[in-house]
Amino acid sequence: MNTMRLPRLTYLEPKTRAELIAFKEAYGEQCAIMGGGTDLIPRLKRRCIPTRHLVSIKGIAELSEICRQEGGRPFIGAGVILRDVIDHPIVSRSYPLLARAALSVATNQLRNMGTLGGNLCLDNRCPYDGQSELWWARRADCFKRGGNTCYVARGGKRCMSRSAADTIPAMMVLEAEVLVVGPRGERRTPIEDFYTGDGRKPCRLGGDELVGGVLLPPADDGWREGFMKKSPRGSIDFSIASLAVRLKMYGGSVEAVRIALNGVSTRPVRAKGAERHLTGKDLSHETIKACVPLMVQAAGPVSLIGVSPAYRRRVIEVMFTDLVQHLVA
Amino acid sequence: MEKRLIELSVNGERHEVAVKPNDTLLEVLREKLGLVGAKEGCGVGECGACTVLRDGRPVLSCITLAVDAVGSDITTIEGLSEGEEMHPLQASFVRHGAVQCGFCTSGMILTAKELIDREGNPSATQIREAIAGNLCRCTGYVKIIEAIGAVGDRKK
Repeated sequence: MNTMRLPRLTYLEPKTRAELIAFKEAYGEQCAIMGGGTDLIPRLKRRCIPTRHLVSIKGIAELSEICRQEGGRPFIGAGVILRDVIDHPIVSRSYPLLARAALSVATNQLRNMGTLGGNLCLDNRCPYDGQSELWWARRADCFKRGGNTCYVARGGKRCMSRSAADTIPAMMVLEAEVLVVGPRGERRTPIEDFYTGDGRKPCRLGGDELVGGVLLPPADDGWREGFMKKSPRGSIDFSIASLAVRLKMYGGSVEAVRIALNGVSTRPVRAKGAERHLTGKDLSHETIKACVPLMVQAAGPVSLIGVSPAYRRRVIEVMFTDLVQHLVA
Repeated sequence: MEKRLIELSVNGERHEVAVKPNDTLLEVLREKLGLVGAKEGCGVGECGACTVLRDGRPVLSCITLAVDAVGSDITTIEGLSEGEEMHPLQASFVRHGAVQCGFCTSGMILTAKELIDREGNPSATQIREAIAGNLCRCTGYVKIIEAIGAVGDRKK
């Protein structure tokens, strides 16, 4: 027992949003905002991050609820547990895509602990970053740890850690907005613009800002939608790639389509080229086939983490073909 | 680091314990309350050996802060049996030979309890999905799935 004790830390439990913002403003990058802690606590145990002040958002009622806001748009607080996202009638009835994606995260136990805000702000992953303090003691720090080496891509010029949260592609095709709160008030940003692509700091947040929740667009049942995740193991694993597709048909052709991928690069990606290619066309076998290279192109230089780039590209091709064909059938 | 006096509700009993902010729920259960049914396997939330029920739902006590468990009802494997009487799931695990080294068993049973409470008579697929976060390194999954399924069938 106790092979991995947590480091000494302080645990702050703000009860209101104002208190939370005040803590974040006071501690800045010195503190970590904690939802379920499912990713943060293991990182602290492994001494991957220097943070020693935890600010829990659990006690704040308005960040722990799912409710309707103006125009019937649902708001999901950052502190809502994934299990509650999946089971909530608003989500399961009107946004089943999000429920599917949330259900593909980790395991039963972790979904009972982890929050939607936590999944949205999940730090980029890399097999080296996750190593213990002892492992790092004999090596030069990588970009993510403040050094200037990358062990994933030897000779790489930047951090190549991988964005891998499964709910992100679903929220991207739903065109959700992230509610960012801070001492200067709140702002909304389309989820697509929320990610920096910089593995060291994947979320576009100021030092005194944090995520309050997510706003979904009004429900629209005119869309066909699907989600698929492929990971090395069938359960409890990060994806090789996860894919969400939403499309609207008019007559026999595609009126509108949105496609998003995660797990393939330093940031989640929206496949705009593939979307343009499909719009206005019928979804014949040939159209889908011609679109496949555009999907691979959208992923950009794919991550080397976990599987080879060639295999990851192949997974993207197969997932895309299967998912779109399934949506047409 | 200052100790805090907290009240934990475990297996229906209230316990006052002095904890540090970096004590995990698992450490408090095992070292302060003497409830050693929950095990530490990986220590980082991957293996499920430390599973306990928090307000009826399976969670991982090795990555739960003890201070964060205040206000919840915690159930450990010790809280399942009624005196000498085993819980139907425990009896079924024994009957089906679903216990080998036993290290994963308490977590398996607690995860299964929530599934049976929620679904009544879960299918084999539902059982597999529910226990996906409980690793059995003796790989005795077939017997475990049968043992859980038998309790579901009995409830029908």
